[in-house]
Amino acid sequence: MTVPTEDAAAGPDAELPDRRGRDGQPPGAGLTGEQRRFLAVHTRGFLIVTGADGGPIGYPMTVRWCDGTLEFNTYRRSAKVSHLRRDGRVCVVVVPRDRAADRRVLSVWGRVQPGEGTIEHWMRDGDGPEPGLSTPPHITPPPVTPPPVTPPPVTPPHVVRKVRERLLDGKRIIIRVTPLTALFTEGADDAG
Amino acid sequence: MPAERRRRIAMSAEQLTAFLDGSAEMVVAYVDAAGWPVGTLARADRHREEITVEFDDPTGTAAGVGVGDAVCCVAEQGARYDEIRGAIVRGEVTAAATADGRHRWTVRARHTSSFDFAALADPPGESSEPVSPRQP
Repeated sequence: MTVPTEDAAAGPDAELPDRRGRDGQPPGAGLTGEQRRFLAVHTRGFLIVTGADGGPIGYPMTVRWCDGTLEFNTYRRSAKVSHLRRDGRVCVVVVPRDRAADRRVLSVWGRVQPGEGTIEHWMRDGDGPEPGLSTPPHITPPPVTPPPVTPPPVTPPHVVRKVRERLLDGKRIIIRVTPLTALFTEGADDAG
Repeated sequence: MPAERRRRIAMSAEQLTAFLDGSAEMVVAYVDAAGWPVGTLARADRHREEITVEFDDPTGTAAGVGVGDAVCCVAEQGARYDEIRGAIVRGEVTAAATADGRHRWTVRARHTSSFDFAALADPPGESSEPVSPRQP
């Protein structure tokens, strides 16, 4: 397995032709079922982008698996949006909050989709303890042995309210990432 | 996010030092030869202005990173919202070694930013700007 290179020749500013990605594949088609299930239940992500100086920058983010894409929200005028407009290639490292319960770490490579995502998934209350902000809206049916899941931290209501207001007034936007490939690792625990 | 707001949720120098000293795991990030960002979870150990990270690399791309190359180390911890804290350390590799497929880099910090959501735990005044969960 290697980091995807099929888009490298198109340059950092190349955009996906449409929401379905290349080769007519639906979003997320490059991921295995186990990887999709993992993304459906874990929301603790680290967004890795390339900065203006060509070096990497990582941002802790709440990410959501929605309709075969990874979504996150951020300020329209944030530095990360500038970085993504310059180069839409990203790596999202998803790390379970309870590492003792699930030692796997999933690195996902993909491209930011053109345009903005819908705020629909981020505006409704979910069933979990973090209404509308980090509760995955679409939980894929679990495997035979359901993965252990630690509920995400409960976001204070005033923070939830403010984020929603900023999504509605356009100061915050939803960014969608079309996954191209992903790889499980065991993280740092197997260090000798 | 406005710069003033960002400063308000940043850790103090003492808090940041203690936080980084206590971060045994960090996400280490680099850009591979083809220009793709790469990130993985690494064991981390901080000493003064340097961080040593150790990790496996099943992608085979980390071998292309050497002394002088830019990397980023990201730490984040917290079970409750008001306990969430994090730091983003940008720097360069000052030493690199590989043994049994495991990479060990020493990273000299060039720029560090941080956040502490304890500052957001209480409802802010009307003039405050919102911050998304886990987003500095």
